[in-house]
Amino acid sequence: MSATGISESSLELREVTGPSAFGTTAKRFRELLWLSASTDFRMRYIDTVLGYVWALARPLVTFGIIFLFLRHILGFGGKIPYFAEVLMINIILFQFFQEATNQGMRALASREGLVRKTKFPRMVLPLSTSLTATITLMLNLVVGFVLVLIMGLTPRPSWLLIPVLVAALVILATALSLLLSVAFVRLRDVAQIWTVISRALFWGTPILYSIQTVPESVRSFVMLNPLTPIFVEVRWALVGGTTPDMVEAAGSVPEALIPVVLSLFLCVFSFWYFVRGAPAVAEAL
Amino acid sequence: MSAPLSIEVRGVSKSFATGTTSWVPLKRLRHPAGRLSVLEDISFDVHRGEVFGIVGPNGAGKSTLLKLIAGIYQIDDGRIRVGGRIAPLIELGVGFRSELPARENILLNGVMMGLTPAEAKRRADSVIEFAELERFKDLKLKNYSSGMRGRLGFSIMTHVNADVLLVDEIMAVGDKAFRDKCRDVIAGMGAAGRTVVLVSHDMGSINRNCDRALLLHGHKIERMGSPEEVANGYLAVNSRRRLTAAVGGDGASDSAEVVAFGFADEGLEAEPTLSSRSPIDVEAVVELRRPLQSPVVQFTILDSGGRALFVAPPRPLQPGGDRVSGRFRVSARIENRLASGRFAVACRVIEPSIDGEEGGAVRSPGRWLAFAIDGADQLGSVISVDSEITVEPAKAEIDVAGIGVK
Repeated sequence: MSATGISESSLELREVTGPSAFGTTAKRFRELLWLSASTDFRMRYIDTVLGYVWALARPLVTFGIIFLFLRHILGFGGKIPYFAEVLMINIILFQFFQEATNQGMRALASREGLVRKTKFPRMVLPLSTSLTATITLMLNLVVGFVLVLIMGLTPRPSWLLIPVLVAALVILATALSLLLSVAFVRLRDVAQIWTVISRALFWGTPILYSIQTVPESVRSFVMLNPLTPIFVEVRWALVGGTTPDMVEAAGSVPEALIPVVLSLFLCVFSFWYFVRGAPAVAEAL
Repeated sequence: MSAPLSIEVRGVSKSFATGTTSWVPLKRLRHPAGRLSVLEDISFDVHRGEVFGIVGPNGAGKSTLLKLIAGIYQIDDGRIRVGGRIAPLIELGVGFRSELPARENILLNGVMMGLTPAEAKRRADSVIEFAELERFKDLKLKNYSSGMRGRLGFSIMTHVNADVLLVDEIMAVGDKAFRDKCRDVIAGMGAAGRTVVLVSHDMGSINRNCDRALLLHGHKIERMGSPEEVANGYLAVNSRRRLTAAVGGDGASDSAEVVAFGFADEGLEAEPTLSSRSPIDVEAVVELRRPLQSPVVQFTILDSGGRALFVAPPRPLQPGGDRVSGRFRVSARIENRLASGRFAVACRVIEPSIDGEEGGAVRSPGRWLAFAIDGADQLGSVISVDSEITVEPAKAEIDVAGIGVK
């Protein structure tokens, strides 16, 4: 509170630059991001009666219902090797994708006070919801893999690829959060649109089924989906054997690269869109 | 002022997009996109160690100006430079999480205000102590009263090492004791070489806290200077708004208009000060755009709040005229029985309804002229009339009952 601590040079007049996606220094960005994400995580799970159990219960219950329905009522999946094990991991992964993008979409709008009343690196907000969802995903995957091992899947060297695939999914979900968060501020209909798209993605991605069960007539649609390579590769990495990898599923390397290039484009576009849109977000809210 | 500059604002303008951003063409037609100007060509300086106030009526652009200085909004035009670190929070308690206890909110809010997490942790006890919330430090914020939240927010603000503090409506929170504490702390900050900018629509809080102030009105700086000067300007602005509301065009017809209205003595300035008891001489030109049924012109004396004090008897524009139109020059001399203060004289044209109903009358938009009366202080009187009071020593034998006093 004393004037002695103020150095003259730091008080030189400097131009006010207005809001931005990143703020001033990387250190401050990291501090804010971590504090925000860890607080979100703790608030979500630690203060509820069963805490983190809820985060785990959702994918497991979804898995249980879908598995019972597909396997025992429709009789589907009997020919797919390790159907239950892969289904469980897939559902954990997709539920992460859905939650991360849904919460990311509202990251700016739901923290309206912060956005409108403080100078705050805007990108912290969607990144922090994404980070919170990622923390949950990691815990869920640990439990998921323990269960998969108990169910009888044996570890293979190709499991080493899984962290890379999970990272790709996290990056894709984060990029979409950036895109959606700014789009949602501009147009609230985005929430409805995204609900429809993410439902379509659930069925259009080889989550419940394996890629070779998709008939030729619709396979090209599934193969355009940016999520497809991740889930095809996860299945291959988990069980190997006759399960096709992405190149086999697509037929050739260039065809397999189409959704990958699409994803990369989506990531770059989302990032650009956020950086461009972030300064005006406070006024649009 | 010899102190170096802390905030330099030069030619700043800001407008916001209005209208819909809908993709539906019909909605776009109904609410066409436009720009709403909020600030136009604003320039001022704040010196280091000053407590500077920004006042103005609602919607004058005070908060927008603060947000531009804080870097929350982008500047359309012009330049703002600030010396030192700005506390990036312009309202107390923004970003508080009501599900978390005080200590964790101090950490969150402190980091947001620019502290490192370690610094925020170290200062938490001191923040709680300053806010006098030791007994409640483990209570979740949702159980805090709004005054307690305000105290906590203010306490955090005083514990971050910002060189420039920008605060919107700070005095809206807390009880009298808290407001006094705020005032002392803000004065102390100024003395310690920090710069404080306060925004309020309440002149009182600016008066109590600020060294200097500026008045924003109609997107521009209306006045800048000592809090007293600005307070006078603010009173005049408020009075103008009320007068316009009182005599302005609400429900008025455009069939008649007061084209010109002024004091008869052309040497008078815009808001003249008249001496007590000198008559009020005004002249008006009225125009009737279509023939009216026996129209009258009416003069009114109003106080600065827009309340009518005297309504002059209506004067027909053309006695006995049935269908009257054209231009008329009207002069009026009104006896001045007003006490010292601020007043206005208004003029308008009325076409009384044929069957005498009030609602059927046609009224033109009114015009008004503000003026002040200079006279001896008359203890809150509105009018000044002669009075004579005599006093003589009373003797016991005077018949008290004779003059009605028991």
